[in-house]
Amino acid sequence: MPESRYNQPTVPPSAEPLVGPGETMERINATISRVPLTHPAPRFWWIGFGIAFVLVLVLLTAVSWLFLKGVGIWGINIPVAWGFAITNFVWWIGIGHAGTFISAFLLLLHQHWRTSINRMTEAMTLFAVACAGMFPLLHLGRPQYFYWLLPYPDTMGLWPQWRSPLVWDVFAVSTYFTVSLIFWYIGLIPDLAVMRDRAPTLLRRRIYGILSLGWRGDGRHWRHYEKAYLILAGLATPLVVSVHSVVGMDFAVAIVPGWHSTIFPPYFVAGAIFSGFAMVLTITIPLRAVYGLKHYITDRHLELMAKILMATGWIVAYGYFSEFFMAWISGDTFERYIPINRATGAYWPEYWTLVICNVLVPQALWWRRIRRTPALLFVISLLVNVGMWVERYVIVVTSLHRDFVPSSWGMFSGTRWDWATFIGSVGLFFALMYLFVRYIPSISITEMKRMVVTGEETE
Amino acid sequence: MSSLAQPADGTDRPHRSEPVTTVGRATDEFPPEASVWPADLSRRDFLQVMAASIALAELSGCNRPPSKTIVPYVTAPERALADGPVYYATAMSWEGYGRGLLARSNSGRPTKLDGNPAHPESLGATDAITQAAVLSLYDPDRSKTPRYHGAPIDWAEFQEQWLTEHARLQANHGAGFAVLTEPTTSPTVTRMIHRLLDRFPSARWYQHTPLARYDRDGRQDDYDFTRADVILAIEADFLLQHPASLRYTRAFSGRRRIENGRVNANRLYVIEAGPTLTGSMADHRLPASPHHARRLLAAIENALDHRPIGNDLSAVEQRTVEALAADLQAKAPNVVCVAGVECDDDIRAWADAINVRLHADGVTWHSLPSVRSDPDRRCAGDLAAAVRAIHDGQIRTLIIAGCNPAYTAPADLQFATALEKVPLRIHLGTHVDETAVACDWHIPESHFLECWSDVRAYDGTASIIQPLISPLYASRSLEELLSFLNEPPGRDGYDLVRETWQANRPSADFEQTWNGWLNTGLVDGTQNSRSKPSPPARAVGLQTSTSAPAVTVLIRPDPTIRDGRWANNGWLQELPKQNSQMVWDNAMYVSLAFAERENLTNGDEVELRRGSDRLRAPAWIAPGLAADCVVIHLGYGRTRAGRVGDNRGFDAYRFRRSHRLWSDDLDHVAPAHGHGWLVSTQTHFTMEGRDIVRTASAADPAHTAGLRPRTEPSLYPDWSYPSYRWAMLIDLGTCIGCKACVLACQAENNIPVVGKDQVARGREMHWIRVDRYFEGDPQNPQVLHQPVPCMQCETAPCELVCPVAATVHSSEGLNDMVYNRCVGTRYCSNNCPYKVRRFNFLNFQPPKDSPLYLQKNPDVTVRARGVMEKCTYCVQRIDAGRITAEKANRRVRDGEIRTACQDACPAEAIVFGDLSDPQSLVSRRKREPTEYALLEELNTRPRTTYLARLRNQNPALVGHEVPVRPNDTTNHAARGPVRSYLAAPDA
Amino acid sequence: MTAPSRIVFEYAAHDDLVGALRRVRAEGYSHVEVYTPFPSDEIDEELPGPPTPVGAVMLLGGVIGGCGAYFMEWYAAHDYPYNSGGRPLNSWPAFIPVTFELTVLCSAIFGLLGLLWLCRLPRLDHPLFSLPQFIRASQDRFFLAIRTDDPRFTPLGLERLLEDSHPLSKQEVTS
Repeated sequence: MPESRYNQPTVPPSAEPLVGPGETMERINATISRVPLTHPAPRFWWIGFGIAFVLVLVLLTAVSWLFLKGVGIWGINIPVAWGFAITNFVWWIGIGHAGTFISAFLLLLHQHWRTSINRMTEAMTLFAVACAGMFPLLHLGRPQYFYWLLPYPDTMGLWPQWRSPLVWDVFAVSTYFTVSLIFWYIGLIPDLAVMRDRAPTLLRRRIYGILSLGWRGDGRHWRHYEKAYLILAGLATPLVVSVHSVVGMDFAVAIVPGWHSTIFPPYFVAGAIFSGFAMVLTITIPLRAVYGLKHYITDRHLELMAKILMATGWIVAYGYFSEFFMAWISGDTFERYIPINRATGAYWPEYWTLVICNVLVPQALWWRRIRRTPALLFVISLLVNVGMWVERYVIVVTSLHRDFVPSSWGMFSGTRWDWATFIGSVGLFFALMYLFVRYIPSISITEMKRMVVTGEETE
Repeated sequence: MSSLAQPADGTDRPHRSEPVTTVGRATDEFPPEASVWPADLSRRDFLQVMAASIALAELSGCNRPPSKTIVPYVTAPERALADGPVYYATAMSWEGYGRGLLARSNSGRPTKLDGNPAHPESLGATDAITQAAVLSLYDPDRSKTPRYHGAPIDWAEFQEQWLTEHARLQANHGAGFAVLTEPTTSPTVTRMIHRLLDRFPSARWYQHTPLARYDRDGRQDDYDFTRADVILAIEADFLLQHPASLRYTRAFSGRRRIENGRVNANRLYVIEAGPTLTGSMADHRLPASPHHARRLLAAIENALDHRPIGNDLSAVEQRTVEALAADLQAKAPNVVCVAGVECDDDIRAWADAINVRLHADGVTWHSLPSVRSDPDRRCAGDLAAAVRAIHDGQIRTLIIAGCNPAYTAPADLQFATALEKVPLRIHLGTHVDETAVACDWHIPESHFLECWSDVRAYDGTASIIQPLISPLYASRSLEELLSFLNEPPGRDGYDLVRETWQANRPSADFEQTWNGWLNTGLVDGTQNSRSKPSPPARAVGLQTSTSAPAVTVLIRPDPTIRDGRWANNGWLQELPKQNSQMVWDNAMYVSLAFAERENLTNGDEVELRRGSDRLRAPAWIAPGLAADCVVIHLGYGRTRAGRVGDNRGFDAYRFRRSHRLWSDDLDHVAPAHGHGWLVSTQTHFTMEGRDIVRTASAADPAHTAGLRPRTEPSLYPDWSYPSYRWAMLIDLGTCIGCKACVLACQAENNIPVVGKDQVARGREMHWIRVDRYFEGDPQNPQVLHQPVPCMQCETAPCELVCPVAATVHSSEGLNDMVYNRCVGTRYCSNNCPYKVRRFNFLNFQPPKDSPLYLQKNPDVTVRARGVMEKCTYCVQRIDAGRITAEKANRRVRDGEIRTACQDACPAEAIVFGDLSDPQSLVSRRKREPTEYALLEELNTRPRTTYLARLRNQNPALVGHEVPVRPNDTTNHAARGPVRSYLAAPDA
Repeated sequence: MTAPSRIVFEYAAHDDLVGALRRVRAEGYSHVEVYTPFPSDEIDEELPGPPTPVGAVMLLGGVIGGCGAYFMEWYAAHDYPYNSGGRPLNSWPAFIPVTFELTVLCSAIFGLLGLLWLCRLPRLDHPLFSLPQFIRASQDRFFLAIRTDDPRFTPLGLERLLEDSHPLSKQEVTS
């Protein structure tokens, strides 16, 4: 009996609503589309975008110099042949994971609160993966030949070497980017139609019109649409897990002590979601404040994300512990040396930084008051971002700088070009985010309206 | 190229590098190539020739044979194909003493030097310096043209100037005329000098060398280490720094080679202050300053006399001395006591006395006539004498030929100021060096590969030095200059050398004899016979002073660039010093004890004080250095060496006194403020208890060698290698760590020099490195050497992580590196447990217009930026050998293919060959009980394996010493700078 | 033949549309179209038409991608065989990651293309766009369109059927 459906509360009664009071369809349309269409707070936007754009220029300079002189401008050496580039790659990929996790994984789990943040986190995923994808290319000794990693009709009949995790990376990252893009775009079509129908000028109507492919909300289209979207979510979920597992295998497949560990794939995935949620908080907290979206991204959203942050933080902490335990129980000289060297060796400051940022700081989230204070949450999310970068740095560098043969032990430290490239990529990421909120509804209008009106959830 | 191989016809003359209006020399009126090779070779002309010789490597027309009279090595190795490289027997001088060479010429360019197997002082081996000598030929900083007060001039002007001077000198019988040279063994040079002195009776000839003189009243000591069961070396680095070191190394290592599980090993006791290579091979080493050494020697004498040995020794020293004495007496006369040439006379005399006493004279200790001109009766004296003569105004015209006294003179002589008093100063040298700029005239000197000469080895064996290429620049050889000074315009080296030997060995068919000499690289019948040394005239008592000085400084030649003559050679500068792994610098070697007391770390400045003299330099902590000693090395702090050698390290000559050349007492040594920048290729010297270098005892090798190599089970089926299975074995028992292999590899495989800064970043490019580890007591550690090339693993970890299959396995089991497929992910290097892979982080090749390209081996790719590279087992040699064999329709013979490192090794520690042949040498050696694979537990299945380091400790001393075993952790106890030095100086 | 025209009813509320839809379905109308700003299960249940085949399409894509990927790796390893670290040519464990990724990739691409194909999109011109109020179909209005070629269609019957379903407007759109 369909009537019963109406009386079903949107969310468990105990919980507070995920949408502010007094929301109507028109009000949702207006509030959300106002951002890209009439775009308030341009001052704030221009300043933020300006800073990000300067960093993009820094990136361009660093990359130009890199192509001119070679990777020798970085701090890498023998034995530490991988440095910032791979660290940044893993870090960005990790950040990229929250998007798909939220929009796909939580969708399957009927986590209604995802609705108001999935659009933005998906965009975040795309931009983070774009930043990440840049580094494996840049770090090549001869970047002009990157395409040799792809299967293409080579005149010499050569193929990629399929046993190499780097080839797996190429496929994993490109697949992840493509699927995320498709998922994001399909979700965007109805909202683009809204934009088309609300755009003030003819030009924008046309642009949004073309992008929305002439979507008209036909009931039968919705039928295909819902199904496709749901299956895509089903595909994207294992994909999320696979991508960072493959990245983890870059290390796990190698025989380097400190890398050669079976726990790496799950441990990397957890770390990815951990850092991803941290970045979501870092972005949503100021965004909802500036654009007055607190009705859609409520304190409860923040609290739920904070809880996931703490949970994944614990998984990561377990990873750290298991590294020690496995090293100890392995009884292997080289394996045992690594965790001790990490904690007490030349890189002890980095190691303890990551322990503090990734293990101790998240414990503050036990307190509801802190979960409920956006400012504190923002600080914590920043610290976790830092901590996760340092974690990757420690994994890459400390394992390499002292491996098997002591005569070949060495040290690594980033040069100014290492830092310029890294900071530059951060600039690129935020520049893209600014453009995104400037031109595209950063919350799914359609799904918000559906939630408000029917109390239904997309499934 | 093939034209060179034709038999000689005496009529043709080697051409002159510059058009000279010769008098009465019709044949030279139109020098063969004067037109194509102008005197003042502009860079562009040079480039054209260079480009041609590279581009047209296969053509024989594009190079300029020095003369049709040079004769290739007759029994050239099989790989010398008609269209490939050609080998010539020649020789080079090592501080005057000859070493026979086989020089490889690729389309007219000398590209590689190896030892001449027939030469008794080379035995086919080389040391690092010999390997690097070829690079100096193409040194871009070489002097290219005569100069007057620094300004380039052409030869004719100098000739003109000299003719007037010559006339004046002839008028006054050469009064005020003096020649300053290094001591030489060259019969021709000696002859020319004598003729000069004949023509100018009042002229004087002085000899100067900053290095050791091996002459003792017309005799040289010689040792037969093949017969020595017990060796006592006192400050004697006979394995590395001796004219006969190659022969000695071969003999010494021969007694340390395990064969069929057994070895009749000699036992080496070393008493020395500073760490040397010989000391690193010692079974028992006592660090002692020269003063303390006297006490030890006295104690040894007492022990031999069964008198109480005195109580001024430590417990370990007492035990060692007693055991040593017992050993010596037990094994006499097959024992030898070697005192280094840098030792004071009384110590050397003591050694003689001991040898006589133990009846070693004539058995292991011999005497040879001096072959170098040090004791020449017509020599007026050394540099000090010359300086005195200058101050007395007796020298008005000074020729400084082939030496650099303005730099190498001891400080107290103040040679530079003296030189200014000489009205006419003429300098002959390969570079416009410190002396050149202090002279009026400078004449470029030819490299030994571009001029005719001759030289005699330590044992007297004479070799004709035949050039492989005619002079690249308007340079003269020493002979030619002397001939010119004597009777302008002089004659060319070829005639002079022939003349010498024609007079020396008159014979009907001299031409044939001559060609025979050129073929083999030896002048037969010139080897001196050894004689029983005459016992020391009177037993010189040791002056043992009770009051030892605060500190003693030992002044030594640099292990790689010696007295500075090789300072501009990039290969030698970047070769890790055999006694410290440091590169591109010298330093003040201080003891661990001193460093602990003063809390020093490497690079901290230290100041030496002797009266008013001061010397400040960065410190290098040298474990094993005697506590109250400091060692400084010559050869650095140069100002006019060239772009490579200038302004590196500090000038030790400034602190040297002519009467205390090798060791000097100091008032004080103290840390000074400031920190220098020292760079080494290795920063960690303990094995951290890892099974890296295994040690076996000579008594029972099989037992102590540890685990036999095992193969881990694998889920995968094994690959089969139906054809050859190349493999290498490195014998750590015989390896002395001289690093000749490193430079041999560099020369063979076109390995670039990257410079101090890049080495500091950990980017050195050597394909084979020689690791050194310390074991046992940090104050006097056991040093372990381990050459590490690519292990050519059968299950190579580097291969399966390469995304583009740029490194794959060959059908013969080689781990091939495909340069032009490499995209530079560096994943392979990360995954290489041995860290033998090298990456071109930047463009490390010389600028396009550099003459250094002439040295490149045409059979080896010059690697581009962003490409990974590593040891290939000299795959180009393997291919050449296989092709030769296949042409003859046979399999490659064992020993037919030799890698560059193997060729160079004086200890024959490296064996290469085919595993599929169970009778091949490498297969047989790999069956020795001490064989093991590095990190075999990783199941990489290396083709390169090792024989364990051999120790032959005196049973009476075993157990009393700090135990030495792979799982040594003594160094962890070391505190402060010691720990930081031994265990973590990375930062 | 000329395409049939539509009678379009505009509703302000989602429930009004559902109510109207139930009525026309109860009357046996089959040529019924709805246009809503968001998908709704009640509407989907009432709406006639076959279940969507998009799932099958994506499955097909996945199968093609997966088999293709493994075959590519297997073929490459045997087409240009070499000894990499002593591993066998067909190192199947190492071939799995790429196989999985390409499965997902192809399936997703098939999904997107399949969706567009099933919806006959992109189509920028549609008769309904000529309806002025239809601009709010994407925002806050719900439209019910009955095609005139519906066998049960009679203008009067439809009028009576929906007169008390509170439509904001009723228009005929001809194409």
